Amino acid sequence: MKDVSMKAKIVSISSRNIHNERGESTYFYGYLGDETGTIPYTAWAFPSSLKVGDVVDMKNVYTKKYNDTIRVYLDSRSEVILDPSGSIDVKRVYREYRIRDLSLKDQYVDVRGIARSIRAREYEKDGKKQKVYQGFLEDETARVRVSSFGREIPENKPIRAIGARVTEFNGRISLSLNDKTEIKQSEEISIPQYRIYLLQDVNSPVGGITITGFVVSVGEKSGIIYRCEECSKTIQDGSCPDHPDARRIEDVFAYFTIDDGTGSMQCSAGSDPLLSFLKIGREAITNADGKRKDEIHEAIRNALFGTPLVATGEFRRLKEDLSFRIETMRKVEKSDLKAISSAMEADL
Amino acid sequence: MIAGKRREPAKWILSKELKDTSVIEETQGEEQGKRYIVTPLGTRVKRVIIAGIITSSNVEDNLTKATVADNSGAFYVSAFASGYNADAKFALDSLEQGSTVMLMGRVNPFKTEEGVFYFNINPEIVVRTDSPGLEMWKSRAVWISMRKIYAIREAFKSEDGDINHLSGLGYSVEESECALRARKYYHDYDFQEFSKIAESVLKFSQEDSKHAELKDLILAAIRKNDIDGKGCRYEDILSATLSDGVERVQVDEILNTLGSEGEIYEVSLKRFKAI
Repeated sequence: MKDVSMKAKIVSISSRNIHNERGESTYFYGYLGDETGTIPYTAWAFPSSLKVGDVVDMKNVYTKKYNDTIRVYLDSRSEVILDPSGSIDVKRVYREYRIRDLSLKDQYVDVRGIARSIRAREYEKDGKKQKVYQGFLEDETARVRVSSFGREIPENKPIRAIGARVTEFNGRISLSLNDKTEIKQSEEISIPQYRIYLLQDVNSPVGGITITGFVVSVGEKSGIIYRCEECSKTIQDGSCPDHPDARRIEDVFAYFTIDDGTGSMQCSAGSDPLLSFLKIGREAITNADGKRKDEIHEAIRNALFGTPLVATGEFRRLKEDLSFRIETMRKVEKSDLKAISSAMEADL
Repeated sequence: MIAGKRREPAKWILSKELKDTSVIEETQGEEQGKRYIVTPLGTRVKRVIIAGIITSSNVEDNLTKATVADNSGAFYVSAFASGYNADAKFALDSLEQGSTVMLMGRVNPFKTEEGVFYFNINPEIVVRTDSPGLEMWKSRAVWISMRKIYAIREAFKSEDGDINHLSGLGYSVEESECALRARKYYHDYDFQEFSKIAESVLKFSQEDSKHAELKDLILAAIRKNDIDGKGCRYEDILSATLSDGVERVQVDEILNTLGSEGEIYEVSLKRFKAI
């Protein structure tokens, strides 16, 4: 629909930089709302003085369907005028999402899942002690981190969180629940043993995902590394710059590329999955001399290079790319083939 | 999928898809000088990942030529001792005929004066793999092919159908682009025949897999029922496998195979021992 005029409240504003043949540019996106509901918008031009909660009169905007949702678009022809005395009670409407489809494109969602490993942590806000409950929420499709401010999350039971906020922290999709989020009991959710995906189907940095493919390259620096005993940061040159007196401890990691036929993914594995995969104990990396370091590097390369792998872990977004942090991995076995085929058959 | 700048992606394609190729794309602009082939399924290929069984190998000092079969045909591989990928030649040399291999390499097209195309793969990675690795590759390569064929059928339904139309039907960008290229270059190709061959690759794998399961079942029965150390009775093998719906003729066939593979031997008439 073209040349639309509307009055709405700005519910959220986010921006993203893009780079194309015309150079660098920034666009804005988020949600607009009124008494009837909310609608996503994309603005190629947007007054910088506007903030969340402002009521605006808009002229010459247009609407178009994108990803099955009607969206409002603002371009250079559109007018946006602040109404300083305006007041709108926005009716919140939340779309249902499966966890693997969560993204920052829709920041308030209706999501089901089972909460796991919930731990309470205290923090101080405005001089008052507050509690935050942190853990994971998982459904049939994926797993994400979840934080609930001031409200305990029922653990190991299916719940529905209406109005949960989607955020991205440290490159990972997370959910945040607050006093406005409605938490209620949900119908049963059946969690599969493995959530096997093809790389072409992964779009969001979520966890609890299993990928399968061949390892086609192994990073040259895979092997024994050193970490600061105080802060666990990797030590590059002799000692930790923040804790020069702290002891350095050995650790092992590997980075490599898995190709699954629909794409390739940069993966990393820390000591737990790696030592278990190599079937060696932690003592093998303790007090390692130069020769031992070379042996460990060779062992990693020989065990991984060209190997058909089943790896479970978590995707992270680093700049615009996704990478995969492995939690468990093993060589593809005969017993895996049925599950791998079933995951593909669903799409045939 | 979100992906950054990486090496040229490797395509998992069956040997029939490569063998039936008759289009070489001369590139312009940034890609000038790079020669891609466009296969009948529309796959734009420069590098492939293949798996199969080495059916022949001819090792010379500077060059090793090998064929790798995948149940839909054979790939032709040429590995050179010079250049960046000398390790791949040495890895290929170390593999005997009948070995199962996973190989990544660049496709090198050649067209004769008569207009016949030949495709050699110059390997960058050669690794011995096992049966699960081979089966994983086969099932994925067949799945990728079949998805492309379905997208191609949709593309042929409407000459105006574009990438948005195919994406709207649930095909990935890659699948949609392949379908449009197939429609452009391979109007008369027999996609039906390709489907049949691709499906037979899977069927072959499933039969292989069923055969392996039966072998495990019978071996386990022989070990379990060799109670007195004089070997397991033939009748006990039959009753152990009957509940799984295995026919007597299949049991006989597997016993022969296990015997010729040195897994079991017949101690006395109709009594078997596992080694």
